[in-house]
Amino acid sequence: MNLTVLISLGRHPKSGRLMLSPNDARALAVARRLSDSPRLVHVGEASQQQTLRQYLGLGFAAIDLIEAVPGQDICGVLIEDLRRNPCDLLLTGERAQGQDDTGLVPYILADRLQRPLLDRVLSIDAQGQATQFLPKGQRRVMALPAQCIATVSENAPLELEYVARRARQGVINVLPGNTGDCAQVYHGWQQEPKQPGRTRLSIQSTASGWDRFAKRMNTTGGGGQVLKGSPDQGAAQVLSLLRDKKLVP
Amino acid sequence: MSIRRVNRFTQERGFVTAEGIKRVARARDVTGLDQAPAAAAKAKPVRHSENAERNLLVVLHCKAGELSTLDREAIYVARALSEMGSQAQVHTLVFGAPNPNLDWAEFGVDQLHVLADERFEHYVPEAKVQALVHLHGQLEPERVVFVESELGDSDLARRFAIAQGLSFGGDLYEVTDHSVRRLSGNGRYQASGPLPQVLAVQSGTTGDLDLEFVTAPNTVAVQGVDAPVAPEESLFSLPSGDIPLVEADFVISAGNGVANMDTFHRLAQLLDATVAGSRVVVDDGKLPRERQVGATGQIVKASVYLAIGISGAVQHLQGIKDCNTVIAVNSDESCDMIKRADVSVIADAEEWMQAMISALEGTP
Repeated sequence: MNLTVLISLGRHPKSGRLMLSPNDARALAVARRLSDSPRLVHVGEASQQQTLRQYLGLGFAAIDLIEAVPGQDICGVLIEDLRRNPCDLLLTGERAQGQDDTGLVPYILADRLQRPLLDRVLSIDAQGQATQFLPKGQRRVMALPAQCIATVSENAPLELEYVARRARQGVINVLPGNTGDCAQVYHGWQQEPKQPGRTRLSIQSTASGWDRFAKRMNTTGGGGQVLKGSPDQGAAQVLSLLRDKKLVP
Repeated sequence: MSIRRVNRFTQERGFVTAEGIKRVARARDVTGLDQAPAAAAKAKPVRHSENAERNLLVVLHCKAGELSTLDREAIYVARALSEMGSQAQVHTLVFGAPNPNLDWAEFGVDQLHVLADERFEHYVPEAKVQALVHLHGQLEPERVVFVESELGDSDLARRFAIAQGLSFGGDLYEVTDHSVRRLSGNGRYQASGPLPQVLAVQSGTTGDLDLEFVTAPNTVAVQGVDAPVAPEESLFSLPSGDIPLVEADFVISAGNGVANMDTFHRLAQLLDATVAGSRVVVDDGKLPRERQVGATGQIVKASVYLAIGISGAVQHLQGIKDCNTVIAVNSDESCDMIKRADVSVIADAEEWMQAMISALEGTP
């Protein structure tokens, strides 16, 4: 299977240093089960090669690093590269962990390349059956569409082990990106160090002070329904409640 | 010149509540009946919005007919955005059949669009986007509000925004009348920007969810949308014992009041619920550490949390603050868990569990 995995650089949540992105490492673990040598593609600065070697340490021979300047539209670069090197399946993490972290890149690629997109995949087996993550312990199994893009769930296991020797031996192929007519993307977002606190949205009250006071007085203090009686009665009432919620047949 | 102090109110102002606590009511005539708190529980004014100039759209998924708190927050965000500027209508598109007893007037929804076809419950994101684009074309809403949820909302929001070429702001933890804020750089930075056309909000963007008015909502079945062809797929649930506690939907939890763990495990098996415990039970080695609920354990987001013999330490209550319905079984009527619980049974844990087991085994 012709497989391509998109990898990005993450940021350590405490120290802020660039590192491999765990989400993309999860995508690599899914890819490793399907193919021994998937193609790893990264768009970014050539100066970050040393950090990028952490991915090679997970057991991969080479990474294609397409050069791009900060602030450049990486989707444009990626689309051009993916048109030149078509693949059967494109895998990536659910979202970056240290960049903009919007999780939009796979959606933009799917839209521009006219490919189906499958989100939050946990694993893909050799027959092409993908398991999708759903909350509350639910899982969905379905056939992977042809020529599709799949994002790997944050809940997928981190299976690959880092070996320093592999990280040193691997090769990074630096490829030139189309820096000539690159669109500088500006979404109007301003990034700054995180400030604590938030303003909560609220509709301005037109009520008088008396109304607010009366509302406070009306609220009954906590506590729900209390059932006293024999244990059998209590059990019957709880069971009927659980049946209402469709948790017990 | 002497300043004479004027008493504007009688010293006997105020009233005594049902609990026997004296309350002082200022700036009101205290002799009349209107000082009784019940006087304020009058009907809320009804807001009509027939001649609205703008539209706002909220897109939700109804799981088993219910709305989560986050869904209600998203409706509130749209309502609050509609209150800024000229009059606006809040439309809500719901995938899945909502429970008929949901009070949409209380939530502040003007028009409810329901897409209750069963086939939309399958993985058909393209068909959902198509239906949404259709409605978007009809209403031309100023902004579309989604929630960030793994039930398909986050996915749909991104697909829709990209397909329509609209500006998108996801994972928003702050929305104001002119700006939004989200985290970037793995939570180390904040990105702020102007209000986008498509918003996907996290929980905590709003404060109090109560409105001071109600709306007159009318329900519209969505027209002109073809139901999708359901793909071949199978849905399965992990065995209840394997579900991580943070993901579990129905949790049965044991506390110090549970003397016999065999009965407890038998009941959990019959109910098909995920097993958890309080710190005491885990410290005693009756349950593994990853099954501990509370500040030092796991934060549970179950729809039903069944607490058996748990008195409800503060640390434990922190761990269940996101649970929808809490059922407590305890012999002590005055414990904190019963104050927190929505339904409580005053009974001995062992006797109650035996009664549950015989009731469940009696009904095949």
